[in-house]
Amino acid sequence: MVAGPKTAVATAGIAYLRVFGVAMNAFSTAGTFGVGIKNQTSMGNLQVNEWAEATDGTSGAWGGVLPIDVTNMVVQNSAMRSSTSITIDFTLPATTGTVTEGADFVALQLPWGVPTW
Amino acid sequence: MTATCFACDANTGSSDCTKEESATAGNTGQGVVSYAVAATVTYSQDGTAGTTDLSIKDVAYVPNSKNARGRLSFKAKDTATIYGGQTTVAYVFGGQTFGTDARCQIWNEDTDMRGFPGMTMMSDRVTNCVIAGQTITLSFASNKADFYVGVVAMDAWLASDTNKVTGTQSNFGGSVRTTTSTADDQYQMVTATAYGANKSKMKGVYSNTPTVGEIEVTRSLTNVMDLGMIQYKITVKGTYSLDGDSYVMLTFPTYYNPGVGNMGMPRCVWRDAENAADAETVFCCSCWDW
Repeated sequence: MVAGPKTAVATAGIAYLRVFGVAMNAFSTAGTFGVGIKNQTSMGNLQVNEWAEATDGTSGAWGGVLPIDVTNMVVQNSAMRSSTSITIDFTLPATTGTVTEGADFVALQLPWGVPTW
Repeated sequence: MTATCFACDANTGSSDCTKEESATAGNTGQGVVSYAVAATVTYSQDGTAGTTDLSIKDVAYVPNSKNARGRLSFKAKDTATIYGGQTTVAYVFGGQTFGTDARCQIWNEDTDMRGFPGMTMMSDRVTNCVIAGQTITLSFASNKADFYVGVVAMDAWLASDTNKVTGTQSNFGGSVRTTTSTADDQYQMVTATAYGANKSKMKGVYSNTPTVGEIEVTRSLTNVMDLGMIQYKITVKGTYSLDGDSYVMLTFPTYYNPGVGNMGMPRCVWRDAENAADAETVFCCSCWDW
């Protein structure tokens, strides 16, 4: 449910709405998007005044490359409440992403219980 | 049915009261009203025996508009005795197809919510909920019917004054209760036409037929694992304005995440008239899955 725009769009007018943060997906059979326009004063009867549908566009594909292969991980200091360094050895995928460059990065997620970097 | 009556003195009598004890008179006896075999009372049924019919209640389709895609929810009503693991109830929503993507959800009964995210407590009262054609079949896990049935990602709502809801409860594989055979008393998925003649019955619940809108949908990204943007080009077709007094309701295909992404709280922006720049960020949230 999306709140309407403060600038009114009258009959036959066109409004552009963007929804960010949508997790994309691939599909074999296109599904249907639905859009309903609803007046706040009609919330009691739960009806929409206008309803339109559209078929999804071009399907995507699995976008990620193969994962790296972590072969070793060493934590130099295991004492509580102290800091440590972490050394991670990994190999790159054999078929894709075999070259590291400035645009690449490796993400590391700390386990629960480690409060901060 | 024929009955005889007798009574005993509870202070001096035994805990039970037999007709022999009631026949013993005097201070030492227990008799208050003696048993006499010839004194009888005859009971007969007053009119036709009453029957209880299976039904549904608290039915809500949101949005309650014909041809729109939303969510149906309801509760079972007037079931016969339920036996956990041995009872099924099948409701047939005449004229309504749910589609192959439709998903069933079972929520705990709570008058303060109807399954909205963050307030939904799923129920374990049902072991299976099967949607097939026009039929929803519930397999009960316990002897309780205190839950809502929700159907999301279903096909468009096909309200009609002739669409009725019928159903059958089966215990141990045999039918024990059905909805009424009187069509006028069956639950109806009515439109404004039927509502007009039956306002006292309908409690304000009827489906309107909305104006047919016009949209174009584009995605900024398409690949899996991308967190992107969906743009809706909405052409207002009805004789009203899309403005701050309005809401826009969006539904998604089921291959998207149930909460769309971003923890069910996407960021929503209205663009300017030329679609050249963001004009206004507004509140939006997911009401239920997809």
